[in-house]
Amino acid sequence: MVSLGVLLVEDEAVQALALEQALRDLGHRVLGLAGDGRQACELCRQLRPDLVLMDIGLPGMDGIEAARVMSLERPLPVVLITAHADRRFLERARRANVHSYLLKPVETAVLGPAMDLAHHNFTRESELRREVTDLRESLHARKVLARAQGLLMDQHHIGEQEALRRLREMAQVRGLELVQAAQEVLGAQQPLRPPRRG
Amino acid sequence: MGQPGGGLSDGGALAPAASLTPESLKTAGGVCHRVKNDFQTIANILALGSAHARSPRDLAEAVEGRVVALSLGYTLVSETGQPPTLDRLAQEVLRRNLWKGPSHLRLARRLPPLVLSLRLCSPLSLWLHEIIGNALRHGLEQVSDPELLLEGSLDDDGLRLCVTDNGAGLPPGFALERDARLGLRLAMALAANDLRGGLELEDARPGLKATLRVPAGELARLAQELWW
Repeated sequence: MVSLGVLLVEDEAVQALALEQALRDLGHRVLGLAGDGRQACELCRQLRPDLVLMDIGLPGMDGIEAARVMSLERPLPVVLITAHADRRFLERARRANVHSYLLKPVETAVLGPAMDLAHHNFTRESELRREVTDLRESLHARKVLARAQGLLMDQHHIGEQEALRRLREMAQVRGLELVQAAQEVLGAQQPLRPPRRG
Repeated sequence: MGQPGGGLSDGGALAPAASLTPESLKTAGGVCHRVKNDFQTIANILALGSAHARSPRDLAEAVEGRVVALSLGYTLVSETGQPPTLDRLAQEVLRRNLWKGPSHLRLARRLPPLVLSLRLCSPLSLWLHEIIGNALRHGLEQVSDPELLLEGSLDDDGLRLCVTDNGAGLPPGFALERDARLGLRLAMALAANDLRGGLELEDARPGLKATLRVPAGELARLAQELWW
């Protein structure tokens, strides 16, 4: 199991000490302890933990709202602990990007795998999010290129391959990426003359 | 067919008996919530005790005293029908801990007339149990004329509660954050987490003075929860 730097958020002293002990027994490091939601958000900014283990019932800002604020600022795995298996809490927890939800009393044997899975799933999610972003960018680039090609084909009554060749030439001459050259063509909407030959 | 405390509705599902009003159901819900919280605390005390105990006897001793401390508020309410005061709670914590200390102990209490809510009573009871237990067991063990003073004040700044002994004091070089064992760690955590205040230990020359401070705002917030 990976040793994680954990921010613990719990307002009840005995519960906090027991969770701290359980986290140490599991080989994790407790980077800080917060007693309410606002303090938790502040410590999360300062300490940049790998995972947040947080009670829902906190004075002032509750654990779900704190998880929502944290995840807006910097996505990270959050494991909530609560005394209530309440559907409304669960719905709010889903919307706040919470990764796991444990019922009190929390046993070490349950806490360890839940944290491990939350961290693993979050890491996998982050990888998938990056892949999706890359794919979106690539798809967008293809669309821009196709539209620029189409425009050139219409304006110059040329074929697809010739339009692509002209775009490549333009990119090469002006030191642009192919997609940037395509964006310029679409932006200018001006006829693209073939580069002059010497 | 009737059921004690409930009955069968037309659909066959169990329904609350007519004698249970919405108010009594709400009170019962509140009581169950407190019982659930206390069982959770006991489970946590057991988990903490088992991580620190060197023997089953150690564990039993560590857990029993704390569970008794947790129960004192309820005991006092059930005996008197009234919310407990700080002085009455302190008296009860002392009574349950005196066997740990010397037999010829001189005791004094000067505590403000503070009526305790449930949210104040449980952490204060555990805090007093830890601090008084430490003083009796460790501080006053070898003292020829042992004394223990409980005093406090209540003003615009909040509650200040001090337990002073004339015993051995802290070991040389003792640092609270680094060297505190389970009892003191619990007292620190109760002061900081449950009561949103702080714990200070100072050399009373001779002896040790442990001071708990609960800010006025927090005291007012915690005083809101009623017993029934």
